[in-house]
Amino acid sequence: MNRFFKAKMIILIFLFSAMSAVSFAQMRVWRKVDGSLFMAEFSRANFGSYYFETADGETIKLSEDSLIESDREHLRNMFPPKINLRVTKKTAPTVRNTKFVWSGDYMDTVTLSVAIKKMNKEPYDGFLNVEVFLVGAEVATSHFHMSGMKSFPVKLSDDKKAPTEIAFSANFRRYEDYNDEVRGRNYEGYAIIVSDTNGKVLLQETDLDWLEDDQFADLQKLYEGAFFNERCMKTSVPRPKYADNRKDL
Amino acid sequence: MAETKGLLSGGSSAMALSILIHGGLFLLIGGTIIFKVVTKPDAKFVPAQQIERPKMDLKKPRVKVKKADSPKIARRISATQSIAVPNLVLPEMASIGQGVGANFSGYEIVPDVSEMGIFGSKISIDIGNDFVGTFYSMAYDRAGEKSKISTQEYAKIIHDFVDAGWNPRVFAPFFRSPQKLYTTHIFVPVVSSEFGPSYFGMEPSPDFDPITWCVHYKGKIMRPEGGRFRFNGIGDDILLVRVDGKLVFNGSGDTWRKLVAPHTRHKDDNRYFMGLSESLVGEWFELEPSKPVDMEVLIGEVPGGHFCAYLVVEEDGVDYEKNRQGMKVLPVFKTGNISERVKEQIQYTLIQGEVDLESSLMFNLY
Repeated sequence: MNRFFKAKMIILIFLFSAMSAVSFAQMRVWRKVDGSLFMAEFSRANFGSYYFETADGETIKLSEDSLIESDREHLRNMFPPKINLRVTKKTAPTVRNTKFVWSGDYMDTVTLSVAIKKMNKEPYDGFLNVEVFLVGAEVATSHFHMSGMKSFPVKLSDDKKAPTEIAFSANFRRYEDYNDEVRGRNYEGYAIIVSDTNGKVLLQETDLDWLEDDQFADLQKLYEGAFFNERCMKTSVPRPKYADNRKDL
Repeated sequence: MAETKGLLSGGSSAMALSILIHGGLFLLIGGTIIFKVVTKPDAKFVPAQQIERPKMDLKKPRVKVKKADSPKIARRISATQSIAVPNLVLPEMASIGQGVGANFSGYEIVPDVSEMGIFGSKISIDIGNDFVGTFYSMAYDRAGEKSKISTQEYAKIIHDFVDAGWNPRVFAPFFRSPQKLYTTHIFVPVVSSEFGPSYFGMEPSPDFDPITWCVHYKGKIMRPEGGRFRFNGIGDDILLVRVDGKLVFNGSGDTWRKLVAPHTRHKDDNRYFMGLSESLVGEWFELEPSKPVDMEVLIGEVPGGHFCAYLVVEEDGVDYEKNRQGMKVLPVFKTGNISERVKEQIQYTLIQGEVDLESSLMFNLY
């Protein structure tokens, strides 16, 4: 029996390798609780059943508890659920020591709260990566500014009434520079990218009307403090204008 | 019996002959062996041949070590933990996210270049070449209570510090941040003094007065070729430089310059704009080739408002490009390359053509 099992495994692994070579990337050897093996691609889960497609196009339907626990766990981790985001923004003046704030100097703290809700019932034990970008617009020029960016590993809540939430803040300051030029930036908008553990993007969301879907990846290449243009290309830093009136300072 | 005797008699002759032959052979072989044993030369202990050991060019290890992990620093941190610092927000752990959901945090565990700032970075980025900066606030005593010293008293403390041979014990009664910063450049563009202390963890808040503070940087400099140099620049309000135990530049703003340390007025003092003020000129000093010397810099803010510390360096005999004012565009003082991110932070408030951020002139030891 054991020899038979080994031989079967070798054949299956060989077949699996061969299939991989012809790009059946999702093909996998699965094991049932009775010890038997089969090779197929996971298709979907529905009402407590798993559906698989074999290389021959045959559909295999199994109840959830037909698979061994490690394979069930694999399915729970590898196939992220559908999600929905609810984004709320709160802007408040930054609390400062007013004794040392000059006139014409304003600073706001923008806090973005993101609620991530799982939209289907299938359990998901894996983590999602939620990247939040807070974008500012330079007041003296047409530059955009990456005022805040952060990645959050998120484990989804199964409680629909209490979705998983994250919050992220950045400060936006406008002030009169020593050359009398008004500088700094206003809050322009946000962008959010949600991806699974394999880096597959599940969802992108923004309120920046100029940000195209294919430009989200370009935001990921920037860093906090970088200036960039509408094509999400990094630009040089906007410099202050030359001032001749500095003797008065 | 006679035959037996005869046999025995004849046998004894043969035996005698045999004994003689065998005895001779035995003596011959035995003698040879004994001779060999006896004549075996004593072992001579000859000194081993000297092995040539090629000198290797040892490079400074480029291992990033968190200096805060060293026992010395750790002791200091634990000491400062006993200091009550009411209402002061201590440095945020960069690795901790700001998620509000249960069990969520950012995953940037290792501090990265984003932690590098214009005052320095929280970790040593160039061991051996970097200056270590310690932040003091004279607005607070060491227990974190407001000290209520005046700006004139602050200037007197700085003066006492200089008089005492730059001994930081003079600052002992006042608040010292547990967060040290490491830097390979000393050049702070114009920033609001409100934000200066935040680089050392003192976040702006209504309860923190960003006045009468200073940063004491200590490090070593070296030039392989040696040379004659002098510092230029301007500090708003305090900028003092000591090389090899000698004050070589008092670049403090006019009001404070004469109060904090001696200086000799130079003909080019206050001649050119630099940042929000006019640049000052220091004393020439010489560096011997490849000889490291100590260097210390003190920068400070007195009343609040704008702060800057422009420290540039001029090498004797070098022709420098001049800007629209006719001022030499001098290199920023550095002991290592300045990261692009820090350069960008500097450039944001730096008027183009006032200093040279790209020069190859460096005072690194390694």
